[in-house]
Amino acid sequence: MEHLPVEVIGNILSHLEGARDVVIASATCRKWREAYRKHLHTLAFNSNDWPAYCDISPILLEILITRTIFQTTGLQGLSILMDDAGEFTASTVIAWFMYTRETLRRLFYNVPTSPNVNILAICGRQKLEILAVAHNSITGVEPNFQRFPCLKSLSLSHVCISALDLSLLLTACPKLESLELVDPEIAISDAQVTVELSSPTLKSIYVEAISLDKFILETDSIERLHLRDCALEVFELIGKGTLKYFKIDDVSVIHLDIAETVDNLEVVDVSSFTIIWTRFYQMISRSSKLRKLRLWDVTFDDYDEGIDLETIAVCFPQLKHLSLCYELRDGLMHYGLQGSSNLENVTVLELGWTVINDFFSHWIEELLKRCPNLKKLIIFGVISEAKSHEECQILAKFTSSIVRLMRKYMHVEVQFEYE
Amino acid sequence: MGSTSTKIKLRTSDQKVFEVEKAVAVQSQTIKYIYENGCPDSVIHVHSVSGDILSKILDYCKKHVNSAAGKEDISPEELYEWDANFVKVDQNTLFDLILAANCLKIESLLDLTCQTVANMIKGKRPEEIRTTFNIKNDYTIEAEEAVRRENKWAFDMLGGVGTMVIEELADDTMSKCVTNAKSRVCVIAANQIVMMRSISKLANKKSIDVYKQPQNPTTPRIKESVKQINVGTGFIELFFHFKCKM
Repeated sequence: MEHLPVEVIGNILSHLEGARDVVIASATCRKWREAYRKHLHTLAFNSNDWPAYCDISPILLEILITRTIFQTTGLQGLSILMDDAGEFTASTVIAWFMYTRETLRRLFYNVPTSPNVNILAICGRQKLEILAVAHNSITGVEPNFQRFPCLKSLSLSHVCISALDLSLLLTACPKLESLELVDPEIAISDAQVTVELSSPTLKSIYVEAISLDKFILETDSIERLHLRDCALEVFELIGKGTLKYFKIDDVSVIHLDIAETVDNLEVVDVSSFTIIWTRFYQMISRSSKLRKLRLWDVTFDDYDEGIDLETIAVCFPQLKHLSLCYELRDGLMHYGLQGSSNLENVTVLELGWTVINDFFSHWIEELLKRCPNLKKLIIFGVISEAKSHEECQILAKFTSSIVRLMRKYMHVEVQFEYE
Repeated sequence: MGSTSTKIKLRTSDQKVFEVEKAVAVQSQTIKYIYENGCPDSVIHVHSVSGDILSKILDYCKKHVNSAAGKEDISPEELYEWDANFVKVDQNTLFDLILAANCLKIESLLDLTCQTVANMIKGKRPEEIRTTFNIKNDYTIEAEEAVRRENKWAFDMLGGVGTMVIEELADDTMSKCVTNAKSRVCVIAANQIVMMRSISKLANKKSIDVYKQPQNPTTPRIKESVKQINVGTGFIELFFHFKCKM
């Protein structure tokens, strides 16, 4: 340990991250103290690490954060994530960001400031690669003066920002690859709430808890798109067929258009959604490279004929992973099992029940026949807390029927997941 | 640019020679630089690394190159486990690996090894850290006191969960409390009669900080003091209440 140079000790202390651990470790010996003062590159004040932060009043928190940050030099990563800490005063927060401005590459900050601080104007922009801001407002974005030449990852949570500022912000980040928007408060100027974002470099986008009339995303490099808990009237993705991963979860969207971008889709994951199968299928029909398809907790329109395995087998020959969970009405199931094409490459099958009944057992049986190269079967179920005797019997009967069924498929690994 | 099956020769400090594939060797930014700017045919000297350590490092580099190139069918979880086993070595080897990774500039290995040491440090007090790594405490008493006082909030583990309060207990019961304590801090009431030496010894063995409320007619009872803290006076003020550390 004596032979380790002080910069390496600084690197080790940086991996501790939590400010309290780092400060305590710095009392070990003088070399470690010097490492802390001159060679520390990462520092975090996270209430997840040390819950006692929340017992300290905000004013005292500000003092201890200021004193600790100002003992360091050349900080590259700063994280202040305190849930339920109250508010910090603007002048102190400005001091922290200005002190670290020259060297900061990663900034995570989620405490409201009073009065509001325009973080984008104050924090170091030249070297910043990762920025995650929450519970603050962002106003007056000026792409000409405030550019983020190195920013690769941007995350805005519970942030108040106008649609215009948001789109200007993206133009101020010429290398942005990942964008995360969670529960933003989009200030509107028109009657229609429209967000139009454009970024030639964006590869991954995650949007949660947003409610808009129109959301248009234009990006030529997009690979991952994940929408969760959104209510959109129109969602349009304009791109060049680079999309590989598409996931929507508990989203209501009236008009969904990703048609031009689906040629290279590898994963489609849809849950808690109302599907009109023919329309949905038309949208992804060109995705011949599809490896994983998951349709979970989906409901079909009354007039819809539902999913049919024949279409899936023929159009997605490279499918390796299939996950299905929806209500098996009699008509749906029979239609779905028509045809005889096998799902040759499917090695993992996940099936969930909405209700345990004979349909479900029968369905599993039929699907097993259609997947000749299956290696793993996972059965998902929801078990209610109050179990009547009848329900227990049904579950037992189901378990027995699965045991009997799987004897015919000894090479397939079976797992059960109940919640 | 040679093909990927080009081999590079490396000579260690103890004169052992290793021949490795270029793709594996250039995981080290230092070796990459020397290879691209020096003489690619002759041997590259890695003066600061011994044969044993270089052998381990090359194992690491090979594993990671193969997994990234898809030559080995290994999932991210399996690679993570492999890494975890890789660093299960004695301290001296671990530090040699750190020094070598630093010198050879292999970022992922340096991160892995530094994180391993950081995990060994986390949650320990300075005394415990010194024992674990055999570090000599070169602070003067004043200097150490100054460091602790400058960062009182971190060293004061008072308040909230983790504080044991002793009041109106018989001596043997108090010893039992300290022996079985899970807390790191013990506060003894002003009116508690205490056999200082025996409690100190017990507390030191378990690395518990013992504070005694000063004897003073106006000293509030412990329960009131602790209540005051919880209402929001904060750690720093509490320190001034209980100045007398055993």
